[in-house]
Amino acid sequence: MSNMPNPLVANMTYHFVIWVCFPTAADDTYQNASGTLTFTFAGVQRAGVNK
Amino acid sequence: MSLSVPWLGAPFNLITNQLAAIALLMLAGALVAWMIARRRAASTPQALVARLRLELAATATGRRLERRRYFGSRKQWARVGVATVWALGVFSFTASATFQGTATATAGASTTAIASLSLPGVTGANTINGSVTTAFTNIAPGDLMDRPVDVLVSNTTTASLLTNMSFKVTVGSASAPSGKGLTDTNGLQVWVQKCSGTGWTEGGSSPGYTYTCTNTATDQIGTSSPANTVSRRRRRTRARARVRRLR
Repeated sequence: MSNMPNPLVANMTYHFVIWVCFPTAADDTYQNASGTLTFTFAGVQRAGVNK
Repeated sequence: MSLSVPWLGAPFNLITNQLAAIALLMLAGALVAWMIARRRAASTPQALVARLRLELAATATGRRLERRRYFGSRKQWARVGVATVWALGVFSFTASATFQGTATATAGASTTAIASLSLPGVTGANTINGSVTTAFTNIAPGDLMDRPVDVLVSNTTTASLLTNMSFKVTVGSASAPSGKGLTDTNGLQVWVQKCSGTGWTEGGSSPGYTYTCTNTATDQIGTSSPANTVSRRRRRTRARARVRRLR
């Protein structure tokens, strides 16, 4: 994701809102359609360094 | 560290292990056995008589029974050979040694980093839209749905380990036209925003709850919701939120 703090801070809660919209251009073929949405948030690990 | 002391077989590169040394000793033993066997064979009565006849014949003809040897007899050379092979074998066992010096250093305990995220309940969001697990139902073209999500980076997460957060939406068991409602041209579209500070404030009433950010809202995925999908009321609400952000 863009605009996230770098690095992420431990013991910090990040507040999001997920907006899902269904375009007005959708036609009749979408009638009675269904599906299961899965949202996944994952931490991105820093690159490896010499230790 | 190790140090090998040169031993007798090493200069010739012939005796390279204990097996070779054992072979040398066995060869020496075989030579000794051969010499003993020859000596016994030469001391039998038949051999002595034959020897006597040969010497008498040689005396009668004036010839020497055996060729004169200037460098020792065959028996003497066999003894020298046996002694040499035996010595090589014995010294091969005894002249090699390995010394080892050892230095050991143990590093401190090695540990790995920790990365832990969780989804705690959204504070203050107790309505139908309060949980991201709430289903979207009876969706019509032009509808906009919103769900608040809080993501907690645990206090056990290693400092500076996580540089960003990724977000992914997957569709399972879809019956949309192409089977994947998110990738269709006219399928569902997703937009994610983050609110700084204490988070989003829930307003409105069921089922049209709204979420406004009293601090700073930033786009994380996408840049805006398609304008033609937002209802007039939502446009006004979001316009007010933008004005608040500009202030």
